[in-house]
Amino acid sequence: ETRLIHAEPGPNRGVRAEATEWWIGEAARRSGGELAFDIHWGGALFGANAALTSISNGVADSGLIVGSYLESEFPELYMGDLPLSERDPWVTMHAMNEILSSYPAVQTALADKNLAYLGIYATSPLQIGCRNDALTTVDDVKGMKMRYGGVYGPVFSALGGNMVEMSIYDTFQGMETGLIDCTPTYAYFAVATKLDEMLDSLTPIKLSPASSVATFMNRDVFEDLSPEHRKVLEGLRAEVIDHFAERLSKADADAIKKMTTREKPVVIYDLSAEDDARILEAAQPVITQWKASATAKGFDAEALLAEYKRLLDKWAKIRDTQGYPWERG
Amino acid sequence: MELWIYGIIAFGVMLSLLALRVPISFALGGVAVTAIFLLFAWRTGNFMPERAIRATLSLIFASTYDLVHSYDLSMIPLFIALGHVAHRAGITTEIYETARVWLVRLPGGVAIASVAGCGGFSAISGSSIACASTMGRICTPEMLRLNYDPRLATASVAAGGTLGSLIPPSVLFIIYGIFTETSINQLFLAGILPGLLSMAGYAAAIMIWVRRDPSIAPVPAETIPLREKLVAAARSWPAVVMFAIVVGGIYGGIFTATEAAALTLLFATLVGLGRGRMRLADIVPTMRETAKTTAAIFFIAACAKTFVAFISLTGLSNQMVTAVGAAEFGPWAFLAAVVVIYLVLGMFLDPVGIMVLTLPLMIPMVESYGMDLIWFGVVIVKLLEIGLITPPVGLNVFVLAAVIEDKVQIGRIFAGITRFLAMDLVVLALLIAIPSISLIVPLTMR
Amino acid sequence: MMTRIETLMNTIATLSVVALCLLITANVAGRIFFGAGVPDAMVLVRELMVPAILFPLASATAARAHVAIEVVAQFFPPALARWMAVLAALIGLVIVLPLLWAGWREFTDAFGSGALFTGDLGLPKWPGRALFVIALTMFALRLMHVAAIDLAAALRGQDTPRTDPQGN
Ligand code: NA
Ligand code: NA
Repeated sequence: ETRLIHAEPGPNRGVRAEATEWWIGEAARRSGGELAFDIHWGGALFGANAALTSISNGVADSGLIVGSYLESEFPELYMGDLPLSERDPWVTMHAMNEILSSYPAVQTALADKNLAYLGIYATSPLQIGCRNDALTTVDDVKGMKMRYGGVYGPVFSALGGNMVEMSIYDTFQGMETGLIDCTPTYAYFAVATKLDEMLDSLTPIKLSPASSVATFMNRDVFEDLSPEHRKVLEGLRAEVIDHFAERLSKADADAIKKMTTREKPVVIYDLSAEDDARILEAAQPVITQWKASATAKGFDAEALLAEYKRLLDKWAKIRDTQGYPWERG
Repeated sequence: MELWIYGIIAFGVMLSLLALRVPISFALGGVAVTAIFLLFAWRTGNFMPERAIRATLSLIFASTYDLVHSYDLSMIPLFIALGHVAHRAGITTEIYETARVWLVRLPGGVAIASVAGCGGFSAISGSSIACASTMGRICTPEMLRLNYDPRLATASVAAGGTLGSLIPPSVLFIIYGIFTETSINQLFLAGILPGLLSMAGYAAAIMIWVRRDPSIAPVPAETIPLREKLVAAARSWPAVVMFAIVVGGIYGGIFTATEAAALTLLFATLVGLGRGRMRLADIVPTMRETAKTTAAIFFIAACAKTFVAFISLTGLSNQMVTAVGAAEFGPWAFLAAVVVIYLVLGMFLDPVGIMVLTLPLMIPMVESYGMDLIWFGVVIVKLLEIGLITPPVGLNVFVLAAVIEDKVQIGRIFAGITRFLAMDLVVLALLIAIPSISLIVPLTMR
Repeated sequence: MMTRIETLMNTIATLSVVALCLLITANVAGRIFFGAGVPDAMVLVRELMVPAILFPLASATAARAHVAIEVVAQFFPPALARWMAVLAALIGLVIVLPLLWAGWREFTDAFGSGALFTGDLGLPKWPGRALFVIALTMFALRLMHVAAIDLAAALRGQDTPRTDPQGN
């Protein structure tokens, strides 16, 4: 028996780490203990920036790749970050899962990168968390000092935000000192990192959550596995989504509850429909830029995005008609 | 063979190479690259060299490139450059002069002034070694001229130099913050009081020593009029401005630590140019030393990172964490073990190497005890600083001996160091016993 | 020749630190006075870090500035010490040559695929890797030179000579 090396850039904490451990436990159980992974947490082998080359070159047999850093090399994964209007992690993950599992051009691209796809994750819905100042209308963004966060940086920059580049670990202190007024965040993440202590208000933003974090296996290693073992791993792709989404939505709801029922509650502001539209409008250049990256990698970007949107609609409809799997009787 | 045993063997080979005077970076990197290749090549039981080559090259490139290709770490060359520019611009001399004119009439006053000067220089420089070498050039010859005992004239500066990493800015806090994912700004603020406490400890050590044996520090006859003292204090305004930029800027939320590094460097350069101490053409030669120091530090860190990745691959780190967890040490026993390990490693290794080797193993344990990572960072940096002045490898002592052109033997310097070391252990005990010495400043920021 | 290239590389390293300093300052000034920083400042700083940190490695090697531990070695007889110097340089090559090889592969990959940084300007990733290759090439050449000189000294039983004649 060969123990497989699985690399995670982040620490062994939180809902996503728990889902990874569940997935690895299930893989072992369903293969009668033959698919045995050793997890290397906290970037001990390589950091998030190097995950793509490291897994495709076999430094680890499998591991997490963060697409947010890889717009030009991995546009098919980065697509999960695009600021679209659907804002449900479960729907987004299932749509991305279908793209990464079966869209033909994506299959070819993954093979070129020597990768086999194993599972996708997402953040909970995007919030702008603020201290002192609050984001009540889009006009408030003008001149607001905000942390530059991933794909949302250019969106809020376009709306007039004064973007501050800083390490995510300095967000807490940046808010404490007033270096930034606001930061893109997620309810669950804010509580898990104690950032909630700093927050006076939260403004939900109706953009899709980031869903470009996925587990991949080195393709040579995947092809060396027996057909049964490959089937076990492929079968887990959709299941880990349901497992994770249930816990994520619960953690997010608990976090919102904690923040809104504490002694000095966090105020939640809802933006108007016009403001939602302005934000979507400001996000267009991000999508245009993504299309250029995807085209440069040989994709028919329009067709790929259209398929992704079709799948988002499909899974939103499943949710609306049948409910979430964990809520079905 | 169990993989973790393979890890221990590689560790042993690496230590033997160190003993054979192979540079630290080469020993770590050379062993790591060989061991990683063999591990990948034989993983499946069959020899697979092509896959192993690809994986090994990918791993060593990522370890090195990602370390260097970093925004946060750009603070390190900036803060090291700052020390050199401040020296050239005369800012360093003024800090010391101010301390000297105010303290010269005290018994051992010039030594105390040297420690205070080191503290002042620490507030604008991120490196203990830069601190010892810069202040050593200024203070030690002055004390020798006044017939101070050579042990006092050298040890006070070698010890004072260690303030460089506790008082912000600090290269060691930057590296600790990055490896443990804690806020560098908070670490900087946490280091202020422990730095001042250490400085007071050194001053006390000097006073006790001189009281017992007044002959080691003759008091000069000169009296300095108050006017002159005030002029000296007023002249050191650039140092005050620079400290205000670093601490005030971070504390007041005007900019990040990286930005403070760039601004103070620019300010020191402008002061140097404005005073005619430097010309634009001097900037390159002034900073050439910076370049070499920084390159060597980073290369050690990169090789250590590769070595740590290898240790992680063997599962040795997991084994150790599990073993310590299973032993169910209490927190005090754990802290005692940390102190002993760091003091022993500090006798031989350099601070950056120690951190990159130990932190990835240590931090999960610290977290499992529920200890505060900011406070733990202060304790670690204090321990690393002590390592800079312990024999046989005391980098601060070596640097000092080099800048005074070996006018005092290394053995004599270490003889003087013992008193400062004793005081350091007292300060260390206080820092461990009373975490609020470290945490009160970051906490008052709310 | 090698010394002159190393001097040039040190100068570039220093100028990169100066550029870092000015770029970060401009970014702060932009944010405070104009409400917007320099586009892609973070990416540019990271790219500049490569020459700032790695270009001086060759001359640091010539100056024998890599920190080693002398505790045990000070008791070595001179002949053994000379052979240990050869061993040290060879072990250095064990890490430096693979790094150079790895850097070359990463450079050709990044250049061939046209990989870009995610950011405002979409800057290419290959220049930083090209600078890495240059730094490691000079580092490797200098280390081989040091190894050859130390080997000659060990064979002749003479003291190991300096390798940085102009002391830079
Ligand atoms: Na300092
Ligand atoms: Na030591």
